[in-house]
Amino acid sequence: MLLMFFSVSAIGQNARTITGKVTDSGGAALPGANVVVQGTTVGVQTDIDGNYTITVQDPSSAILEFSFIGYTKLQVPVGNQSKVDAVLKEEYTGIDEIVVVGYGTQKKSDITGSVVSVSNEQITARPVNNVFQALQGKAAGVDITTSLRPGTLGSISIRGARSLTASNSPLYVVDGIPILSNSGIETLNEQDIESIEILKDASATAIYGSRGANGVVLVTTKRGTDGQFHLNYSGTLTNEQMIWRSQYMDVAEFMEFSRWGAYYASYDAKTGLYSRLPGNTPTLTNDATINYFTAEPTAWQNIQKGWAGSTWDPSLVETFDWLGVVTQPAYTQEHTLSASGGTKNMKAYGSIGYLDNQGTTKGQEYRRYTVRTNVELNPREWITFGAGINGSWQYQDYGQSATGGSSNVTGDLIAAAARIEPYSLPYDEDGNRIVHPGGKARVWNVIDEWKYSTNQRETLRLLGSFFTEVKLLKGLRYRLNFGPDFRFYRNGYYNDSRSIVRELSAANASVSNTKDFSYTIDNLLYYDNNFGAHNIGVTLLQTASKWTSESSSITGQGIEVPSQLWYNIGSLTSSQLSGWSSGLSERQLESYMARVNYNYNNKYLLTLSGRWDGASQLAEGNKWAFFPSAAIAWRLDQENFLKGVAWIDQLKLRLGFGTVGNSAVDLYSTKGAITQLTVPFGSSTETGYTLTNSVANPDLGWERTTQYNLAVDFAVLEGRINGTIEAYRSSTSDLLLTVALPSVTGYTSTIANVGETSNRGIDLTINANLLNVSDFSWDINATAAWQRDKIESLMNGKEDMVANNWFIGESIGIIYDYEKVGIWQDTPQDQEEITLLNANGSQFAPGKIKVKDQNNDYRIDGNYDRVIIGNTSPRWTIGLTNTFNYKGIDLSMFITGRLKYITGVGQGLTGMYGDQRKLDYWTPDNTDAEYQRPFMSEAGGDTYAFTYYKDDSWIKIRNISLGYQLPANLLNKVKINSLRVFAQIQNAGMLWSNNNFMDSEYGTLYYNRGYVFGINVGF
Amino acid sequence: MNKLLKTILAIWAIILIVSGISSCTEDFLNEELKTQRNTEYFKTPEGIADLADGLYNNYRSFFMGREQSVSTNQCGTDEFIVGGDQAQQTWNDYNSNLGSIVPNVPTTNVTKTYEIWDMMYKAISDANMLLANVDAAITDADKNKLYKAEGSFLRAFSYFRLVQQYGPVVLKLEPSSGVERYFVRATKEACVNQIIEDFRTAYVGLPVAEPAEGKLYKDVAAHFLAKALLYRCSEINNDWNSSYKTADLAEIITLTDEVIANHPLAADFSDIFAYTGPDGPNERLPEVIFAAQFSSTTTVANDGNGNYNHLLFLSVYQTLPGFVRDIAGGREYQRCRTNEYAYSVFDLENDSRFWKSFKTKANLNNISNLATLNGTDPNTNTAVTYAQGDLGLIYIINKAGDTRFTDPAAPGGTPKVKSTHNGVYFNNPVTGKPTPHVYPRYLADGSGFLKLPVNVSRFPALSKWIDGSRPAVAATAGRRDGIYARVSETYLIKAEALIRQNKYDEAITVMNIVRARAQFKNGENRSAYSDGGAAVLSNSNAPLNKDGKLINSYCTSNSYYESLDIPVTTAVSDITTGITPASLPAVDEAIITTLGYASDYDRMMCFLLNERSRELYGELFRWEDLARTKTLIDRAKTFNEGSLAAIQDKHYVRPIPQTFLDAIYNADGKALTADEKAAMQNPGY
Repeated sequence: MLLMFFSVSAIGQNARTITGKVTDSGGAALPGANVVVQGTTVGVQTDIDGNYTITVQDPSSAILEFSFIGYTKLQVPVGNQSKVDAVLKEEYTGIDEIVVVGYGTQKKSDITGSVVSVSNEQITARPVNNVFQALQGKAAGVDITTSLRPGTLGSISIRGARSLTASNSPLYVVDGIPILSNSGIETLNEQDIESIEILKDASATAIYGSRGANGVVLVTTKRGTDGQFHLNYSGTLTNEQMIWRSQYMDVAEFMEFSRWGAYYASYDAKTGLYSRLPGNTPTLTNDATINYFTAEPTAWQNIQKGWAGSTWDPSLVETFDWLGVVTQPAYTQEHTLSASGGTKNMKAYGSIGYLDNQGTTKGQEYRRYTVRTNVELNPREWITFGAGINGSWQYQDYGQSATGGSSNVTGDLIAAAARIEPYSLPYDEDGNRIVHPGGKARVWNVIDEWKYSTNQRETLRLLGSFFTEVKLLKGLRYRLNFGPDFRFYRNGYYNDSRSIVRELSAANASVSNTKDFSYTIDNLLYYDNNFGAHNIGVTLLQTASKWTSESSSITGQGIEVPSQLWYNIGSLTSSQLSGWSSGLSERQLESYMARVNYNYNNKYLLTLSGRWDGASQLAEGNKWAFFPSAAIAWRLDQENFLKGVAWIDQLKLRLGFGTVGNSAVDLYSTKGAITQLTVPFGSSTETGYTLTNSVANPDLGWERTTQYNLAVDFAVLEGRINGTIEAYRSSTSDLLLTVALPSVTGYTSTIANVGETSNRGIDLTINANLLNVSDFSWDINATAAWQRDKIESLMNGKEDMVANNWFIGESIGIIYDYEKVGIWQDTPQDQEEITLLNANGSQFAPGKIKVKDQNNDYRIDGNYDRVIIGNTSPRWTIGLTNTFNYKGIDLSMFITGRLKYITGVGQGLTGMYGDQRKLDYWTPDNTDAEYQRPFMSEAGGDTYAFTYYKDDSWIKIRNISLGYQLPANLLNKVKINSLRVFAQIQNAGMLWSNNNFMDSEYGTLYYNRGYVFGINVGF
Repeated sequence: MNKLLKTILAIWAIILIVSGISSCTEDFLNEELKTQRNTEYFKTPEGIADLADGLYNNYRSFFMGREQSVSTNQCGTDEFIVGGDQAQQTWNDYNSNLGSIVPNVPTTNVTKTYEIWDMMYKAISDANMLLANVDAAITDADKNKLYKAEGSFLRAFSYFRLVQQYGPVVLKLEPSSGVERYFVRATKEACVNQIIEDFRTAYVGLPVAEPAEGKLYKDVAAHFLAKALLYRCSEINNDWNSSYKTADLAEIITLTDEVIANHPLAADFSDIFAYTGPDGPNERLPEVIFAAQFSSTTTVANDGNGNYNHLLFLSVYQTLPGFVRDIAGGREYQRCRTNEYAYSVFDLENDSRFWKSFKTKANLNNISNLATLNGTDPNTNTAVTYAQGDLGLIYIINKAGDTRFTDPAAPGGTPKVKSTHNGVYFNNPVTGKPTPHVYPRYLADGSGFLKLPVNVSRFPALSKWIDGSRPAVAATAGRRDGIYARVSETYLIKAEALIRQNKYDEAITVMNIVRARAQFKNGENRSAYSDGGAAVLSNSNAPLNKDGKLINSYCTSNSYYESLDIPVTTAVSDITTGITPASLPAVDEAIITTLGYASDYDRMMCFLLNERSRELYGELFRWEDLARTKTLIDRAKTFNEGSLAAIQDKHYVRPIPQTFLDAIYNADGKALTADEKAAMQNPGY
């Protein structure tokens, strides 16, 4: 690797000993850098601290040349100095990076398609629970959302949506093996990942044919390198706290709100009068007749404390911190120990990792154990064997599980605690636990609930990739890939009889087991050769995959011993069993692919590919399809007319086209399955059959997407500014749609290939080194993507399908509803309108929501008055990383956001329970309020209460990180190669959000803020 | 490695790729459905037989389908008002939410307009599939006839419900294969005639004897054919039915007589509802003509919620100190609140049916907080302690003018033992202890205590559906059969036909057969009570308390004597003597006066509809009965304060679901315009 020089030790008369230090622009010492006297063979290498000593024969005219791999050479005249320090700048090597593409690798400069590469440093820049989180904001056009629950994945979409009902999630390929079972890459330890490449456009993904429509995520794991042995440890410790974006009403607010609700509920249609006092004139007598307050004695006694004096004083009412009971400061730790190394004939990498992620909601936790080994053997010069195995065991304590509960039970503990009215107390005066604080049947005491309800999910995943590669003739290689994937998933829940989920009935338990096994076998033939300026590469592939999934489950109630959980359901009687099932699904895919890469003189690049795919779940005669692609690229920087332009390092134009497919049809959709029934007649039973709700479609075929991509890659000013601008347009035809049918047919849906969507967008990536002054540098990495999808045609051409919420010319995800235009006011004009509308069946009144009567017929109905309110997936996604370096210190801040989309923010008021956030509601004294007047009854709520839609754009600071790379000379003394310590704030907060009361990313009133301390050590 | 070897390897690799070694078999891509049968099965004789059995699951759907049965047939009638849970308030109040889209405001439990629609057309599709395939698959003439009868009955049964709920609908008589979107509504007359024709096919083809419990036989078809004919003659069809009436009414008499001859009434009204476990004696009574079958021996996959109705009529007891939810008491969904109509339509002293249909007492069952009830009675100055099994809750259905009860908080009111006691103070002469939770209908000052909004969750619950055989307190899947037809209704169908023929005296004679059964018998203990909660006594899954005792609020007495405050008697009661068209029973005369009826026909129809309530209260007939006789608006306005404000003529039918209007196309393959959809919608929606 490094050339060896010999220092000539003859010291002449003119000779002078020069010393100095070689550092990089960040101030870090560069050990092993070469220092040569120009024009001679005299040279030395720097030591571990970057220091050198060299004797120069004729110093006044001598020039010292400093060089180090990856850095620009530097020449410094010695003159009369005896100490010459050198700061080497990193060389712009972007274009020579090797990038993984489908079924092979390419130099970045040779790539014709749209590929984003995310490096290990970017992935591990902050602690994450899974790889998805690490990718957020890192690649333009890749939209990722995350989840607050430890161990639960968010969603990912690449360049927006195309499919209406078929899946929009990308294909994952780990070390060359496409993943067939659910998910997959979250089982990898992000520390083990060398890089992730995201293939975005169809010319890049077409080699995955039928599975390329939604983009492809290629994961390459770390392997050993020749000649270097490393031992690394990295660990982080995180403390997370729940931060509330808005609060629930306190006693004073909630009571007044409820009194208003009771007031409006007391309207007597016969007399046109209210029988109660308005909410702003509280009296004890009025309170005492509101069943809502008096339903439970302890709560009512507590409310009465507020009436101890002659006037209402809510501060005398005792309050209990219900939310405090179910939340906790959470700790997360992550440790990875890895070793790698290699010789000429063998390279290996191994790691073990542990992650323990506590939830801020009590009872939620996620633990992951990972092991990874990658071994490559070259027993002979012409053959290579490789084996990689990733084993992971994941344990997710999902926390309180509403599964198996009644519909009255809220989905999580936070919601259950929030529902309790602020004046309700957990224990009565005698110290007994109150089952229903406040007396409402759906409001339960949450104390200790996390002990009574548990849902534990375990996943064992073994992901293998094995290969043999044989060099045959010159330029010709044969490769066999084998990728087995085993997944075992167990989901067990237990709800004690004391759990609120069970509403005090017998304990129930359930366990379901799923076993997936899949494999892929690839036969690949590569041919690469040069003929003068013509470089040619050919890839031929034959591949087959099979996926088998087997599942079983059982559920019962009446578990006697809590410690049994779901482990002894056999102790129940047959009548206590409430569910049992088992199932089998199988799927096969077979393909042939050919690809040609052609490169003329490194200037003109061409890629052509074609793939034939056959899938088992499609109907006979429609199984096979051909997916072609073509892409050209022109490296303008290689042209003579640009070679003289010093500030341009790279300029490349790319144009690609490809057709890809999507066969994400449910298995057996073409088979017309019927449902078996057991029909009781008295105490005996008969087997019967009935039709399913979905009619079989024997003509199902592939959904096809054709995409054009135009891009410019550039790097200027020695690569200080580089980036990519891409524009694309795709059209998807033969959409796989679950089409709503009129139930008059006996069916409510079918799957069919109908219609067309289009999608266009721009992806922008810019990396810039804005400042580089002595020891200080400032870098920016920015990504931004805009996309818009559109429905072009549907089942019957240009006809809307209102029953599915699909409209020609509109986005795929939209809200179609009545249009809220405000709140009715007690003004003559409004009263006049109200009278006219109410004559036709509306029940409007001042303080209620005013929706637009679109056709002005004074009748609000579903045929005329619903309109398209807006789109639900963001038009823009952005990511921005600012990094500052000063000597060994680095400070970075990562900002991410989703913009231009709407969300239904719910009615804002429930009027039923305590989970009433503070809000601006209508009363006769507050007429310009945002929300309607309060309601006390559950179904008497405002008919249009769900028409509150908001632009939900947000930009948040995902994390701020401060790191310090300890100086090498210090570490050298304790035999440590490198040591970095860092501290971070995760989810620092919203930078900007249109939605002022919740965290739009999660759709909750709260989010978790984390404080991280971490360490990376290399031995 | 020498060149030859390399060449051989290269050729070998190419062969591997071309031949596709890893998928050497040709059928690698075949998809085989191993775990289920497919529609081809319906072309075989076994498939038709299994499809015919499968048809019966559709009768279960109405009861399994959560709340549709109650929201579409009980809500918004005279029989019930909205209880403490307002999930179905829309259906009771006919408010502006009751449109072609019933929104999820704010509870998802609210019945959607499309639910019954979809459910019935699903059943019709099964029936059509059978009728379309039966001739090709079944050559045996008897079997062919039987299967056709079973298919026709289900189709008629489903269209009958559709037409009663939605008015004229799309008549779909062939199975669909593939996507079909062009549909128009038939006329009401065509729909009704199709229903009658299908019931006739069933009547001709079904066997005389019931082949197995719950299977169709001739009397079932006769009962429903009579009912469909009666529907055709009813007021809702007056704009086209005049030519059918005479023949239809005569045929009804023949059909009902046939059914009545084969089905004796059960000896005691309470026998019908004395449920002690799945498929017990009460479900096999000859009185029951046809019932959707539920049992404990079915697979879960197709049992869904089981019979759901046990949940919907109950009032809340679990939040009262001394109580905890148990299996016998059931889960109180409190959608339907018993109202003043229930207290006034029955002759409470002489008609046993009120006391056998409603639950007026419950026993303390929660030992963990019983102590909170104990204290000193300030009225008698004696210490009272309570034990599990003591009477804990009583509803007293007294008459106005009863001065025994006062509001404890009012000046001069009788103080309660403790603040944990609810309602009013009542030292029960039967138990000798103050009952902790006491809810009388009237207080001494004449105020209707049960009517107060604060008592929205307090009412004597309809007990006909209570199911003590469920495996857990929270289990929603009930196992009681869902009765569709019992012979006392057949009598009342006959009586109605007679009224429509203006044969009032004959009608009274027929009704008196039903009324006679409702009288207290000689020697009968009038305070004895039973309901389906009794099944808990033989339910091995019922939870025990920490002392090992069954947690059980089931009480075997009613509040007959506490309510009426009369001396104990075991004499016969009489509600049959002296009824003439001009002099109907006092309770009926009172309602007739309230409703302002004068003509003999109106008075007799009012009497009949009252009798239907008394006999069939809460048995899921009411909304359709009132709609077809066009008495819905008067009765809902008079007895259901929730319906009062909004109900109007358009509410005699439900809105056509928007999901249907949005999904269909015109003949030219275009979606309907807003105008076309509006034209297809029922008027006013």
